[in-house]
Amino acid sequence: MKRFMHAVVATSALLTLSLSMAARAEPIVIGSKNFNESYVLAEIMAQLVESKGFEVDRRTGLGGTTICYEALKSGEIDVYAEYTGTLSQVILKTGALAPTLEELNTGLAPDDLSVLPSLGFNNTYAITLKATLAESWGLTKVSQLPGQDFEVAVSHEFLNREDGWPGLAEKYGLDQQPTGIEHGLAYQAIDEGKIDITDAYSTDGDLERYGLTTLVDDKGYFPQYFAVPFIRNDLPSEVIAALRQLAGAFDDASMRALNARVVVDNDDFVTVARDFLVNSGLVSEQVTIHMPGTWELILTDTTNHLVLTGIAVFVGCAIGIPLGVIVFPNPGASRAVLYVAGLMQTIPSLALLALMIPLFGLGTVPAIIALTLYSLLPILRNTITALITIDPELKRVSLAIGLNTAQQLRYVLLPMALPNILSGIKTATVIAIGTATLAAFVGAGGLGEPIVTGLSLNDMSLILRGAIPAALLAIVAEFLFDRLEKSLVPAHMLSGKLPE
Amino acid sequence: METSTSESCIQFSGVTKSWGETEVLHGIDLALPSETVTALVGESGSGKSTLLQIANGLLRPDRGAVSVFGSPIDYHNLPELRRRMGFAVQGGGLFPHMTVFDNISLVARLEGWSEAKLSERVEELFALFSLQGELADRYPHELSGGQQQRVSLSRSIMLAPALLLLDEPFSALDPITRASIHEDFNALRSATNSTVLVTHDMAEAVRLADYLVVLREGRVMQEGDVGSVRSAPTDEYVSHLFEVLA
Repeated sequence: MKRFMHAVVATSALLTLSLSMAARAEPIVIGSKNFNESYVLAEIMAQLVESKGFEVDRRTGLGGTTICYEALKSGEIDVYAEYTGTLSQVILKTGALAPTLEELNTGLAPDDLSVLPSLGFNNTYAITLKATLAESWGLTKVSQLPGQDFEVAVSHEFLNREDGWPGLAEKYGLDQQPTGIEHGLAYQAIDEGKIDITDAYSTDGDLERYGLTTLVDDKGYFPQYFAVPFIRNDLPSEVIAALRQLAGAFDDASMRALNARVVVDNDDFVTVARDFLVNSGLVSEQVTIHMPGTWELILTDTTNHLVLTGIAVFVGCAIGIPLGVIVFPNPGASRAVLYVAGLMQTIPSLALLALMIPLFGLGTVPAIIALTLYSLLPILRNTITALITIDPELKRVSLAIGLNTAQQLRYVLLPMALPNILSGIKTATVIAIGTATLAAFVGAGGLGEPIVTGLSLNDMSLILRGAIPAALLAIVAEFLFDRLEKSLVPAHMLSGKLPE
Repeated sequence: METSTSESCIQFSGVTKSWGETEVLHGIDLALPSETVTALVGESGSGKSTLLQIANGLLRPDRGAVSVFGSPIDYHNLPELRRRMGFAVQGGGLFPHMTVFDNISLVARLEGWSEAKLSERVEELFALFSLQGELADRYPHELSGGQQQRVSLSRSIMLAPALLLLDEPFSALDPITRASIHEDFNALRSATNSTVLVTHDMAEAVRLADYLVVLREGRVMQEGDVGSVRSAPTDEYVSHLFEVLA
């Protein structure tokens, strides 16, 4: 079957292309979590390191502390901005509320990781209220709160956490009865005067937007969350030296202002980081920073996206089609295989991606494996169904005229199953293109990256920068598969067009 | 024993076959003569198709032995044996994704025939079955039922097999087409040595066959030359089959 060979050759070419694009040199990889401040700090560190002549790879928007930490340990990333409180409580689990650098570095030494001196701001929990209100009441610190008649509403998590409101109320003897409120709605409620006080993160850009001020935690109740560069010890010493320049370069207000520029003024990270570095004298104005244009970014993301889905679907075919061919004669085995593949499909994509991290680390590999698992079901199901449903009379005749089982498969069964198998591959591809947008959470890049960033910044234009090309890719893929089907399959064999 | 083997194309000895609990063939002993058209006649459920599929190894008997061309069937080398036995079924059994030419020539091409030899042989068969040349590039669904059946017969004798097995090949056709294909079939008789035709139609059996085997509920009721069976039915069932004809 020549047509089959053509399809195989085309797919192998795609795979080779994909692999060659995936291979790169060894730049400094800077990561971030998927919230605004982490992006800003990553971009600042990236430009600073670039200004020293290093090539930098940005792996931003990683889905949480555990993912970032595992990525750092495994060398998938070289540095990201972490917080001292998170390091002591989540990573080292010492429970220290105000850990010193020495304590942290002692704990991290076995992993060959360390933290550099703090950037100077403390992004901790804060009690916040309108600046005008604070002024009129003369409020500056939490200890002034008891006995005051305020409407307090705090986020559900803060309301229930032992180290949230209950502990705070006990420490300061607060007698207000707070209600729970969605964090995003709290700012609006405070803005409209429905509540007076809520909890916040002290460097949240929204504080700036709504003209809020924070009360000083004068009894030192909240854990300290000083931002620190969290690095691998094997970073080049010039890079470490560069990152040390950031020590004390911020305070709460200046970080809040940088965050606000992104979330309130809709400035992009690159410009905000550039302005900060130039204004604080860390980078000379003469150093030009490469600002990739929108189209260049779309092209890079789309290429990455294609590599992810292309490899996943190819591997899905390479496993699914032969497996289907092997198990279809045995109904029990077919059911079992389809059941397992179906089970895979029911695992939520994010959960599956998260499950991949301890096994395969971060980046393209776990993403491709997860996507492959998703591609398997439609490919397997269509292969098995197509082969099973071929007229048994034709199966019998093909043997009776003297074909052996391999020839029967090659000349009769597979060509007759081809339209169905192709439509399985088409479904798998479209699913993979959609699901691959989640791959950004494990640092695999692709069109999910602008979507994830856009979601965390509530920036619709960023979301669309990922979503539109992804939708177009799906449409184009569908179109190309229809063309491929037309060229490989005689018209009367196409599904839905079988002759009477 | 030796003599009977050399004169028979297929020999069944004590062949028994069951589907689940139901035994459909009860110890069939039968030697089908060579260079003869033999009709296996019976109603549905008589076991005639099962017997035919046992002859080319599509089914294996539960007990008993089958010899083809004088040797027991080698179940490890069925494709080679089957290429010496043509096969056609009711409805044609043509592969819908292949053109008429490819359907007919598939196995010969796998046998390594040259394109020229393939074309030559297909042309010959087209002439034999009065098929127009332009049908060669069509797909089966573009053909009438009669044309499909002629193509199917062409495929069955492409390799000029010594033995031809036909499983109700004419049953799905309308009476006029059937009559016309019956004529073609008589042309085909010279092209192959032995033919076994399974049919439920006694009229067809009488018209096409020389030798008759009447099956009923998994047993052989009577066998012999068409004339002798007709003139001396040993059983009421068999004579009834002929009465319907008259």
